[in-house]
Amino acid sequence: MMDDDKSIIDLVLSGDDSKYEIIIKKYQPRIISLCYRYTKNITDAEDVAQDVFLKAYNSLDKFRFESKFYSWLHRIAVNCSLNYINSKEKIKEKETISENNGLNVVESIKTEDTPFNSYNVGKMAKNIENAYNNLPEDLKLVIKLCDIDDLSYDEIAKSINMPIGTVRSKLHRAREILLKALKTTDKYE
Amino acid sequence: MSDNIEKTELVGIIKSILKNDYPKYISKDFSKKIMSKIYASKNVKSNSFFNYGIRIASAVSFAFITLFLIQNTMHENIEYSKSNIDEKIMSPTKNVINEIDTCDDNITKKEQDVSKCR
Repeated sequence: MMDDDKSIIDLVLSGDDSKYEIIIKKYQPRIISLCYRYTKNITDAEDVAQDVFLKAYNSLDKFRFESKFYSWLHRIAVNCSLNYINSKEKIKEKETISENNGLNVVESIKTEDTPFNSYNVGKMAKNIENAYNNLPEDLKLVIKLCDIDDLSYDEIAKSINMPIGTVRSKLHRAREILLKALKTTDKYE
Repeated sequence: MSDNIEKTELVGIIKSILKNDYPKYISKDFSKKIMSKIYASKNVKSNSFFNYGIRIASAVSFAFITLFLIQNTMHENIEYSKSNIDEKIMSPTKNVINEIDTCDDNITKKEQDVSKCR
């Protein structure tokens, strides 16, 4: 997975900016979820997550591949979220001062995304959990080691004494089943 | 390409669900918004380089025009004639001070007179 990121990042750094969208798509749910833990508001979480990806893009040349790309992104997300909290606290302080002065504070109107504009991940999760639980044990194990424990193909092959090619094919099969389950949720709802 | 991106997106969602680390909703145009911002910032950067170049070029051309104007307007027109200018070389004058030494008692009056006449 890390090698995957490296090849994509190399392409972005060589000038193919469009490839950065793959990185965004890959990590957007986890980064938005992380930001949501700090912001407690899905719209703000998406705003902060946007900042995270923009900051990561602007300092992509500083990433040395000494750690996993997601760890680096995670650190940026935490910093951005803390900055957001600090700025929000400052705004709150200002608001309380102006309220004490008897001024009317007009609250900023934020448009919440309607379900039409968003993926209902909560709904998708139920289908994925069902599909995962119904997977054959060997496929479930490979998916667990790769997607939950973040092991590389090499590490999985060594841990379950299986050729790397078999690991790849099992992972492919497992993902196809899960993707099918996801598509039956109808993400365009 | 778009299929690949869509699959990456769905695999990303699956991974976040399996890790139990997912938000309730994700905007469908989340990545598009970021990409448009990236492209916009790139355009601004290239425009700023272009503007920077134009500024330097205009400054240099302004300097050249100013120099050209200064050279043409401030230059005095000197007319040369064929006739020679006669110069009379005057002999230098000398300031002479008449100094009279004080007379020594031992020197005779005659000698004093002679010395005065020098």
